[in-house]
Amino acid sequence: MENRSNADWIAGLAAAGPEQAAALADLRQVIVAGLPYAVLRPAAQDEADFNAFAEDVAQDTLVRVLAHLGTFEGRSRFTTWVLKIAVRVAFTELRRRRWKDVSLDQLEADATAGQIMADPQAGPERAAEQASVAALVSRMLAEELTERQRQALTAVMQGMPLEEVARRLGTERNALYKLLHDARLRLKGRLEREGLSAGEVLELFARQ
Amino acid sequence: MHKLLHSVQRWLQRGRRPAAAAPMAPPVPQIMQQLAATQPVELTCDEILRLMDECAEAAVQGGDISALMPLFQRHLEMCGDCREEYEGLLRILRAQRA
Repeated sequence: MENRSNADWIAGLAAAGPEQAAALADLRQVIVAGLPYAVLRPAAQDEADFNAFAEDVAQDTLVRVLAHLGTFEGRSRFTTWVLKIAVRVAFTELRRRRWKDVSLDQLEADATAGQIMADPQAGPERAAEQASVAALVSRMLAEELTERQRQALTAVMQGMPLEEVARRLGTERNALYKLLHDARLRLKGRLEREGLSAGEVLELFARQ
Repeated sequence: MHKLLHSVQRWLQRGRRPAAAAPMAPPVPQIMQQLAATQPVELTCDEILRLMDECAEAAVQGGDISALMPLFQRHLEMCGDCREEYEGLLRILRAQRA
């Protein structure tokens, strides 16, 4: 199976009957063999559980591959294209499991509660500068961004994957990235209009 | 840095309208790192997915993706989801070559 060319894979999968079944079985093997390298199994997870997860990912991936076979452009090996899809399927499921009990409201409440702005090790003048800049950034966030952009930015800054933020906002990851890109451009523009740069502010917070 | 402080103080004293929402506590350095890296034009997650297999193969063959595909690399620096998936795919391809 390792010796199949891209054309062989496409022909096999597009065929009917035993030829397709053989190609699907080979492709399933490629996916199941590759997944443990992409998704490192947590020490706490039972091997049988992981194998069941890998089989589910392989099944879901094969369905997608068959549905989108015509979109393969031949810009990589066919198996790399398939593994790319498998990796996305796997991480999407893992993110869903990992974040299933966390809401955007909860993350926003956590962010509001964490009022640690200035570095306590900084001198009084530096601490005052940091607090002033933090207040400015808070106002920029409130004045420049929509509620949706603020929610998304807050969640992403707290480590929630875009995929999960998008799910909670009823959108897709690609659209969310564009929303956040627009938010960043707005904030950057506002910062520049205030005569500041991100680099200057970073320096203020980095210097000891 | 006095210029920076002066700018901020001047801005804060302008008596702008009240914030539309309760101000949250922003992780300033994280936000500024993102703003510093923000470009007017960036690839989206869908565009990254389309390029990912090709870029991963180039990378495992020794190609310098940041030079060959700078927009791809910049997106990975901004997007943890795409970065995680790309690194996962790279690990598989490297294992296949080993």
